[in-house]
Amino acid sequence: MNDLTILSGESFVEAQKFDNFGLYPSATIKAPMNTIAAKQSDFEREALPHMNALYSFAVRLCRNREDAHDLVQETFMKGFRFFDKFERGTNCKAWLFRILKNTYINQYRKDKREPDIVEYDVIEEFYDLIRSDSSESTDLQKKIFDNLLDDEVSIALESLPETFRTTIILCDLEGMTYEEIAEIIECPIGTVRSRLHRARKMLASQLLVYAKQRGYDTKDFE
Amino acid sequence: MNKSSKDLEEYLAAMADGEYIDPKVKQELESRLESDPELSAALHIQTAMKNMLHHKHEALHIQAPMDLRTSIMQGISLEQNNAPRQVKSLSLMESFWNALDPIVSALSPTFAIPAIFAICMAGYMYMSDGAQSETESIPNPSMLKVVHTGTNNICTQAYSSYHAYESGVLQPQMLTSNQDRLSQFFAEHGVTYPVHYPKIDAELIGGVVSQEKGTKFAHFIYKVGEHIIYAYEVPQGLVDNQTLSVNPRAMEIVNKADWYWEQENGASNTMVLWKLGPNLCVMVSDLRTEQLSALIHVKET
Repeated sequence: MNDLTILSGESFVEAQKFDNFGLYPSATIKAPMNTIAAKQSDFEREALPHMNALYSFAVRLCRNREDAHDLVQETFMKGFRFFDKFERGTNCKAWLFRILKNTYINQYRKDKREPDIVEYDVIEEFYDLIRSDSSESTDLQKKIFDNLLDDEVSIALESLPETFRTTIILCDLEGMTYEEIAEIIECPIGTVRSRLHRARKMLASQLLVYAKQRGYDTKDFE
Repeated sequence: MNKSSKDLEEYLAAMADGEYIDPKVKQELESRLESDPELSAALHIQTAMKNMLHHKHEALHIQAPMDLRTSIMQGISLEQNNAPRQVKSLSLMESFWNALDPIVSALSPTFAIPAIFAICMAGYMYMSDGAQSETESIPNPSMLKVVHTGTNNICTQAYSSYHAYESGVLQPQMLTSNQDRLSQFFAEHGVTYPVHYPKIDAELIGGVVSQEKGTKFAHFIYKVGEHIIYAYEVPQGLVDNQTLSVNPRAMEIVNKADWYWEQENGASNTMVLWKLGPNLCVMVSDLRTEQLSALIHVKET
C-alpha cells in the first residue's frame, strides 16, 4: 500500500511506504503539519524573552555590536531548528547560551587559537599587594569599587581573557549557578569555581588601576 | 585535610556565591578565615567584585537593537515557509512510488530489484537536486521584505515624501525645533489627531501636512548631522485600506515583533514602521538600520 493519508484535524501526515517492494521494513513516516506553527509559538514564548541577555553577552564576547547582532540571530535560528531536541521545562536560557557560545567559537572568534594566556604572575603580585591585613580597608575597597564609572568596569570586564570573562559575566551579571555555567561552557563545576575566583581577582586588580588613575588613595592596600 | 591557603583560596568564590563546598573543606576554610587575615581579605575581594557587578547590572547590560527581534522573526518565518516543502517532498515521493508501481509489477523478480535500485537512485538524485535548488533560492533573512503597493500605502507615501524632501521638491511648511509649536501648526492646519513624536536623539526641524481622501496627516523631519529622518505619523484606525493602507505582512511583523525594518530597494535608505501610542509611525532615513535604531529610545515592555 502506497497511500499517503492526511488525517483531518490531526497534526500528522501518515504515510506507509515500501510495503509492496519488500526493500524496507514497513514504516510509518510521521511528518508534522500543525506542529510547525506550534513549534514557532512555543519557541517565541520560551526562547525570545532571553534575547536581550544573549545580546548583551554576545557583545561582550565579540567586542563589537555588528558581530553580536549576527551571532544572536544565528543562535536563535539554530535554536529554532533544533527546538524539537530541547527538553521542555528544562533551562532554555542555559541551552541558548550554550548554542551561542559554541557558535561564537566556531564562527565568530576572530582568532580561533586565542590562548588564555594571562600574565598571571603579574596579577598575583598585584593582588598580593592589594590584600590587606586591615579589616578597615574593606570599607575603602567597597567605596572604591562602588564609585568606579560604569565604563571603567565595562572596559575592565572586556579586558579579561575570554574564558574568565565568560565565567564572570554568566555568574555575576546573568546570575547563573555554577551548574548552569558548567553546562554552558562544558567543563566541570570545579573549573567554574576556579575560573571565577581568578576572574574576580583579575577584575579587582584592573579596577584598582583605574581607581589609582582617578586619584583614589589605594596605599592602604599596598 | 590541611589544605594550603592557596588551595583554599579556590573555594572563596564558591563561599561568596553560596555554592556547595564539601563540608570538610568548608569547615577548614571557615576556621582558617578566622585566623588568616590575608585569606579573609581575599574573600572580601571576591564579595566586593560580586556585589559591585550585581549593583551595576542594569548599567552594564547592553540593550539589544530594536531590529534584532524582527530579524529573528523573519528568519524563523523563512524556516517555517521552508518546512511545508518537506511535506511537498513526501507528495513527490508518493507520486514517484505510484508511477513506479505498474513498472515494477510488469518486471520479473530477477530484474525488479536492480531496476528498482537504479530508479530509486535516479529519483533520489532528482529530488536532492530539487531540494538543493530550493535551499539556494532562499533569500538572506536580512533581505526579506514586503512589497508596498497602492498610492495610499503609508510606507510608499513615506518613501515618496522622503525623496521629495531630499531632492528639495518638498519644503517644510513650518520650520521649528519645538514639538508643541509644530503640534499647534498641525492642529491649525486640520490634523485632528494628537501626534506622538518618537523619543529620538535627533533635531526636529519642521513639519508638513498632507491630505488623503479629505483627511489631514502629520509629517515631520529630523536632522542628525548631514542625515535626514523623515517621519510620518497616522492614526491606526485610518489605516483601514480605505483612507490609508499598509502591507498586511509588514503589519503582522509589527504586531509580533513591534518593529518592521527594511532597506529601500536599490538604495541604502532605511525604513521602519512601528506603533507609537494609538498611531502608526513610518520613518525613512539615509541612516543605516543600526544607526537609526540606536537613535530611537524605547521602553521595553
